[in-house]
Amino acid sequence: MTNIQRDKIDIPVTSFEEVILARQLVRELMERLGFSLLAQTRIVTAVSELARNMVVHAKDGRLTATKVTQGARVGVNCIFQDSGPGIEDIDQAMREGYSTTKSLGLGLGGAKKLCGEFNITSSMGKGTKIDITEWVK
Amino acid sequence: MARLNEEVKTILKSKQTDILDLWKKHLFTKSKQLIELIGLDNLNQRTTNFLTQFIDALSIGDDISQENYKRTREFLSDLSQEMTQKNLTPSETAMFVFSVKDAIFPLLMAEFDGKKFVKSILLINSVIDQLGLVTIEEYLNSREIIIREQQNALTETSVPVVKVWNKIIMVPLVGMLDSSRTELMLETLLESIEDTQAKVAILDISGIPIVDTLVAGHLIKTATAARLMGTDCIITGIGSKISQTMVQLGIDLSAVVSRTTLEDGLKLAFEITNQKIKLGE
Amino acid sequence: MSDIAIIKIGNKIIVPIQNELNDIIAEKLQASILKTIESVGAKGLIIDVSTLSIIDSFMGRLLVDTAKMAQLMGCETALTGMRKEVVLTLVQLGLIISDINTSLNIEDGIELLDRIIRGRND
Repeated sequence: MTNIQRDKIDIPVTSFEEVILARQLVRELMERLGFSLLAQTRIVTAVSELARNMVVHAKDGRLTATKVTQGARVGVNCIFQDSGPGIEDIDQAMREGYSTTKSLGLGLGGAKKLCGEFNITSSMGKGTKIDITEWVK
Repeated sequence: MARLNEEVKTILKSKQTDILDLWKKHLFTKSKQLIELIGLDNLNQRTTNFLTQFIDALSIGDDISQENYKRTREFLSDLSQEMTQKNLTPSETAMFVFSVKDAIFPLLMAEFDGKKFVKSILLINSVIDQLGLVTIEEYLNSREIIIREQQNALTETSVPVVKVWNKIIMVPLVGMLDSSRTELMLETLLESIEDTQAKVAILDISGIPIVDTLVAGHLIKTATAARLMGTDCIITGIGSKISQTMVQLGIDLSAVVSRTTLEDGLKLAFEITNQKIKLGE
Repeated sequence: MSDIAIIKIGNKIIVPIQNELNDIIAEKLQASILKTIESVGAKGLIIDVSTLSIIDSFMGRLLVDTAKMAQLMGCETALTGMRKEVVLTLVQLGLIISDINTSLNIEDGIELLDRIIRGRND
């Protein structure tokens, strides 16, 4: 189930311990890819928000993080996928201050602000998939 | 696509010296600048190398992503990079490859009845076109790298942070304060706060021509960030014009301490850090 | 539970957070900080976050809440040693932790709390 390679991470995220593990693994991957400390901190913070969301709202969250390239550019791509209840109103969920649980209500919208590229698809009863990409500058 | 006809390959190999001579002749008339940049000695060596590699690779077909073409591609990438740095136009660099056609085709035509080797000629044509594109692509890549380097050099110098006194640092801001510069300024400022453990940071904005809502927002953001680190911000250089516009625009800077002159800002900074200097003794 | 030390010095307690905390352990830590304030009657609380490599919205909320709770018990809080990357991320996140005292390091934090506690005259 857990698969950790040099340029690819594929792990379940179903507990708060695994949120911490996800943070550590993504940070190590980004460090290897040559991201600045600031970029690492930004993306790992986003990973923390999104991974926590999966633990709180779904039971079978998974995180895959991989190295991506585009010409000479190198980046990291993280996909958060679960088959939880889904999000009814994505726009509302992305709005600042919106929270169904205990946090500062910046989870989803905040994560978006921290990432270069952010995509979300969700369908009720089927689950949510969030796809983020950040390039080394 | 078809491989190169064996007969054609043999001819190309046996005629290599003729092709080379003809090719160089074309280069001399069409690409004078390129030859000047490469130098004559270098030119002989490079054209010979290229042609040998090229004719060898041709026999496998026209897919230049194949391993056989690797050396040829690398050769052209290196050449293109070098020429870009020397400010040669991309079309002149590409002409280096394209003019190979002018050397090969007449020879093949003379050797055979033109129709016999149409397929081989088409193949060679397609390969050379693709190789021409390699030089253009490399040109774009090299340009991008050069531009990025220049950008970095420019931004790095644009935000100096000065240590004025024990526990006091100052950032003199000059010019427009847009989002990207604010980001850079913030990073540099926080870095020196971490390094110097300064308790007060003075942002002097006398050099900023216009303070609108956006700029004020950037200043507040900066002060907030410094505050999170544990450092107080003082904004100095707010003259009568700026204070007037700020109030008229409804900008609320009350969350930030400000002074008109740098002198007053420094006095306040000494107060905050519990320091005194005696003058004239 | 966590091996985070809660150190009492004079009328203050100091909590140096040493490693990454998961949400559950972080909440437990909050509870034990508050219990310690109650049992020793602390007037000042210093939470040192200099080793925290990230502060996300949960941790941010928890820290602000802890400071508010401590204040209700008559104890002032200073957050010390926040890293610059963390600060920049918080600012970009739009997470403005205001109404909480911050200092560059534990030493400055102690000084700051002393000044605030003295000012309260109690």
